[in-house]
Amino acid sequence: MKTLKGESLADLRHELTTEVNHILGFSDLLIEEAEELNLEAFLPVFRQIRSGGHELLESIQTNLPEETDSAQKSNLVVLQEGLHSKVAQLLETSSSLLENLEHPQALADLRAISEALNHLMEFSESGADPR
Amino acid sequence: MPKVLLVEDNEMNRDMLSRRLARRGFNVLMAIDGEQGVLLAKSELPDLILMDMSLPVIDGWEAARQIKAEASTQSIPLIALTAHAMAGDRDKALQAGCDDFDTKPIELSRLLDKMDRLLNHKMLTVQSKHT
Repeated sequence: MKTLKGESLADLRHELTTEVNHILGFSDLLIEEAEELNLEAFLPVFRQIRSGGHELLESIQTNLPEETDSAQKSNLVVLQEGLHSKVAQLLETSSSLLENLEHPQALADLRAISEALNHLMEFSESGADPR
Repeated sequence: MPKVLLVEDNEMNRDMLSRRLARRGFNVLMAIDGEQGVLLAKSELPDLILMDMSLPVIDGWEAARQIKAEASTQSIPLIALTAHAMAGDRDKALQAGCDDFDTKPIELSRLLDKMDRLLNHKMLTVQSKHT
């Protein structure tokens, strides 16, 4: 997600939801695997990340609904502002986890979440100018 | 152990879903584009196919049509996976021959219900042919 200039709303919605899907999917995996990886102590934080992912998805669906191809630019500004604070908060959480987790698979999953969050942060800080 | 063919070009989505299905006892085969999906469906004859619709080389719609047009693979249940929740996509998937449809982000319990229903239906159909 390098730039959003000139990108259609449908493409933008697809890119953003794909990133959120990664956050949801990998946080689900962390939650499912926590017990066998002896990471139960981190379960509340994994759940916090998943919950944050659902909030991001809801914000995207509200501001870039499927049924319209003509979302107002003001919606995008609201979306960017809304995502920015939530993503920043989740990035802080994941950074802290990265320092404390040691299991290689859990670390790999968390890095995938961080990567998706960084892509969303790029969007929230970019000048959205979709067609 | 049911054999499931997952056709998905996004590496992270593939990794997430295949691991979650494998944890639940499915033997997961993977293809990264529509053409490979059609070839693997013919050579491996999986019990069920999960097919992303936005695929390179041959898209999911065309791959589904080819699988459903081929005698050896037409009875394999096929679930379309898309990022869009619009009614048009559901109709398009069913017209292409898909047996069901699900949207991303994947809610695993919902997808598993659909898979169970189709796998049970397929098993009953096979049994009735032999009695």
